[in-house]
Amino acid sequence: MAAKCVLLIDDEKYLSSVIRVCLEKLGGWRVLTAESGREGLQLAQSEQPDAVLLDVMMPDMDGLAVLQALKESPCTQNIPVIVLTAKVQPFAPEDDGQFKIAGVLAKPFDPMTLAQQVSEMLNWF
Amino acid sequence: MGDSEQNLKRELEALQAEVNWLRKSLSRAAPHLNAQVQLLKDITAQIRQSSSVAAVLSTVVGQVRQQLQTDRALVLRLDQNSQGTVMMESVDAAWPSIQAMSYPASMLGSFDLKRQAQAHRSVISSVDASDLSSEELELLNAWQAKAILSVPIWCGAQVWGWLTVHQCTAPRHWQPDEVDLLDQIALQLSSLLVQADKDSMAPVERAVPVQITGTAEEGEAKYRLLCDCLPIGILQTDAAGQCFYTNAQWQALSGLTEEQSLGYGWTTVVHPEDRTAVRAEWRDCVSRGAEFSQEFRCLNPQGQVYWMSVRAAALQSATGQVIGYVGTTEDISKAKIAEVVRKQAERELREVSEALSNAVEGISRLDDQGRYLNVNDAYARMVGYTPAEMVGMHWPKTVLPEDLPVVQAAYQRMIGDGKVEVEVRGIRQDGSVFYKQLFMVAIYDAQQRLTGHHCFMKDISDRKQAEVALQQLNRDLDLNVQTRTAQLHQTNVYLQQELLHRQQAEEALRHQVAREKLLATITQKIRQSLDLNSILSTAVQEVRELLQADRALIFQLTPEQAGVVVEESVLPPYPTTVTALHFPKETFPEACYHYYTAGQPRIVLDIATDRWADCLRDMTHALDVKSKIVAPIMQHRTEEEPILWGLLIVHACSYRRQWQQDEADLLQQIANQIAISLQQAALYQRLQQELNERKQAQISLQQSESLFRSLCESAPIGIFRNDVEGNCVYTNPRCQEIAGFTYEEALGNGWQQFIHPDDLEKIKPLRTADGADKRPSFVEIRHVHKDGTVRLCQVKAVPILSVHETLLGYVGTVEDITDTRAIEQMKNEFIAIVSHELRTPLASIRGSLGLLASGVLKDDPATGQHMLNIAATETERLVRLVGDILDLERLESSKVALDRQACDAGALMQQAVAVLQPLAEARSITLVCSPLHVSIWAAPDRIIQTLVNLLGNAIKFSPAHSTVTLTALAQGTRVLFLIQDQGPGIPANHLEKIFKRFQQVDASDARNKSGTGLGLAICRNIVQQHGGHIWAESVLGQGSTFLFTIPMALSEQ
Repeated sequence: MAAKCVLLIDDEKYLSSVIRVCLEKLGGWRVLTAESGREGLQLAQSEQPDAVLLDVMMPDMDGLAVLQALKESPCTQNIPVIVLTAKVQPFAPEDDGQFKIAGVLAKPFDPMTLAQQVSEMLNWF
Repeated sequence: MGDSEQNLKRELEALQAEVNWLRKSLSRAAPHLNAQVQLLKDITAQIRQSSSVAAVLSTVVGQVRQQLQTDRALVLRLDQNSQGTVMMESVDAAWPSIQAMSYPASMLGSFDLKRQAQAHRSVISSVDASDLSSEELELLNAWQAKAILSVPIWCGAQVWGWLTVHQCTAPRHWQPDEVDLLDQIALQLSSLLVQADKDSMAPVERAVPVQITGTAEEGEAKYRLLCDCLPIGILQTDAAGQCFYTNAQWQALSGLTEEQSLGYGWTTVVHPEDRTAVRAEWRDCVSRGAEFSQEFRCLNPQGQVYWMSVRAAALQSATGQVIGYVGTTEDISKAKIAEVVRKQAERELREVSEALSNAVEGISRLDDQGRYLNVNDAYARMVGYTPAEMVGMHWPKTVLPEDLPVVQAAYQRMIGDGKVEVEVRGIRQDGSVFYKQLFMVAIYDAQQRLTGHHCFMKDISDRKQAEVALQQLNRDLDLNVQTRTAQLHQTNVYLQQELLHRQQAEEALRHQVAREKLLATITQKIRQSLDLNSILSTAVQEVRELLQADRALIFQLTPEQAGVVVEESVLPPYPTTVTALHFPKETFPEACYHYYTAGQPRIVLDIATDRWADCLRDMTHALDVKSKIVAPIMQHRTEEEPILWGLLIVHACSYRRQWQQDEADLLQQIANQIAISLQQAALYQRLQQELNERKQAQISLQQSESLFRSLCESAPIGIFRNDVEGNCVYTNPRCQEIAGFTYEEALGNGWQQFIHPDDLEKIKPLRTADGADKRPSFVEIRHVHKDGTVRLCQVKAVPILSVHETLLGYVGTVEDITDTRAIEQMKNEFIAIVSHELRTPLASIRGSLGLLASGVLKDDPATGQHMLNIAATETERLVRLVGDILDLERLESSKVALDRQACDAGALMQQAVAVLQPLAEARSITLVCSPLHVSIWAAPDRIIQTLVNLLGNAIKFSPAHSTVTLTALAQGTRVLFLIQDQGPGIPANHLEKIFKRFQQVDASDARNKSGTGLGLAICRNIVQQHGGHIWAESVLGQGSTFLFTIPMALSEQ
């Protein structure tokens, strides 16, 4: 079985690097990174990752808009999405009943259990 | 005439009309019959003249076709093989001839059988609609026959053939007389054939012997033929009455064949009931050789009765011996019926006549001499004679002598007018008198000469008696009227007396009314005023004038039963009492008080002898009082004994006036009126007082109201008041301002239209009686102004309860929290951003350090180093961020006052450039500064911080090898600092936004250029705290300029 591929969309390049190391080293997955929503959407369509990790707060196109675009496009709508948030503002797109997300990860997270949490949310065992 | 007589007459007329109709019918039928007879006669003549059968048949078909106006007439001959052949034909030129054509035997067989029951006769109105066989139809269609009438021609007992007519144009309904005619002709032809047949046979074969004469056979045959042709039935018998011959007409009439009629057989035609009698009569006649003549009833095979007349004359030989009889018969049914009808009519006429003779009304006829010619029974009965006795009697004998002139006069009138009606008294044979009504009608002959008259008489005694009784009744009535009139007269007298009494009573009443009117006038005058003094002075004046007294005064009792004169009217020259003169208690003893308390006036005719109050006597004497009336003025208080308020007194001073009781009564009445007026005045005073108090209260209420109103009106918070049903009754100006309505628009339920529809449910208690709630309510609602502006408001309402805890309505306050809420929103958003900004580097630090600490990366030193660098960089970022946030917070809270001083702008500029020189060099950027040495009033550190921030930004966003310039200009009382770069520039829509917190043009810039997103916000804060302005100008692609002003120091101004 090929290694899982995860797409990380976050404008914070340092945080992005750290998460990438976490998931590669501890999850053993292939990690793609995008620094903006637009880039993330392009990658999601071209690479068809097994999951998307999405930061809520981004300039130009925020997480919610990216989520909407992912869910509305037929070729990406089945990719599970995990949302990264600073947790102060509640993020619950399910409340709208519009988009289904696989889970929410709060910052700051524990690097050692990050991969574990992601695989639990996605039922990867 | 009575109804029954009229009915009879009508029926009689109807009957006669019927008889006439019958007669006419008979006479109408006769010519038709004659035509047939004529035809028969013609044919008979033909037969007689012609010797050949063929010639006869030819004539017959022609005449038949003509007579019946049909298209074709033919004779069909039946041969031994039962085959039919058209032997003779007469046909209209329009239709095909069928002469010599044959009719197949097979068809004739069925034809024969079918016709058997109807004596071989065939009457077909429409061939197409008939039940003929298809073969027969085909043949008849070929012949174009639409209707057929066919009768058999007999030769003895055999069918010789048929006499047939065809209608080819259309179906035809054959009439019974047409059928009869054809039958008759066929019968004649039968006779001819029989004759022809006989002619061809030997004489020995003759069935019937000739007994009459020995004449030639030809003559015999012709005679027989004649007999057969006669339209009357003929039968011949021998001397014994045995029939041996019948002609065809007899056979037709009787329905009997010749064989059946033989012997006595012919009598079977007679109705069974009459048959024996007829036979007996016949035998009787025969035995005597007499003539037989009888009409008798017959019964035909259909069971119908008809009448036949038979006359038989005896044939005598030359010797006079009876050798036989020849009988003729006729169907006399129609004549018989007519006779029956005639007899019926006669009988009824007789009955009417009888009825007339029995009529109640007397009917008589008299001649011109006044003699009775005939009278009916009723007439005779009325005058007491038999009808016979009266014939020839003169009429005056039946009239009361006294009334004779009346009748004679009437008779004369009748001669003139033709008729007359008169009522007179009649006299009967027995001398009794009765009333009668006569109706006389003159009778004239053809020459208009008077020949007599009819007299119709009616006994009207009963009516006359009724008239007499009526007259008696009238007389009784007259008597009654007279009696009644007398009674009425008496009543009238009584009424007049009564009227007199009434007038007297009325007079007394009028007198009383006059006095009461006077009293009322005074009362009115007294009552015109509610002022006590005015009442009393009017009262004494009026009383004195009314009673023509010398003095009138009012004396008021004090509680100690002493008193004081409160008002007086006196006629000069008599002295006045001293106004407000007090009378001591002694002048008014207890007995006196008690007397007056009863409310009765007291007349004192002579003061000198008044047994009460000696001291009063002395005083009144001084006042020249001779006599007086005293009337108490009582005060009636509710639920208490009346008390004596005072006295109304009139004095006579000139002489000892004899006061009358009615004057005393009048005085008392006025005193009573005064009492009422006093009471009213007291009440009025109390009322006035209360009114004043109330007015005072109202004034203070108004003052208080205006105070509270001005409080409400100028309150900086919206105030409203609703009733329990949700109707707004008050809003203050602030409320109107917040909600966007006017005072009037809010009234009633108008205020609800200014509330956002989605929020109406929230304020249900305030809107409707249903939702009414005694609890206070706190809600946030949106008011929508007419211009569409939406204001978020906080409404607090508390219920207003009555003392009985009933809900009366609500009073509430309205606050506009739109701005407050917006600020809160901003604050929340800011916190969210700050949180994100803080947590993101924190997450990086925790992540990288966590990885390093766990040892996961020990085999990957490069990544480990990378993680360490990230941790360091992000730590640095976090430190800067926390510093900036704290700095901004400090500036915004203004807790730390700026330490402002006069300082040199140029020096500050140079210091700031010095700080950034290394960075500029590192980025290969030329930093140019043109210091302006002007003294400004500022916190130097803060100005340096601002300059460093702006220059730092400029350097960060400038491309390498470009220039950043810092200059300053003195502008009036301010110094303008300008920081210019040659960077990419800022979009116009971002020029304002960038001064807000965390609002970089591109967020990634902040990270790239290691900014915190708070720098410009801090700069703006600093400049604003100095009382200056800060802004940015930019041209995309050419660069940006940041400008700010700072006030100059006072020394510079």
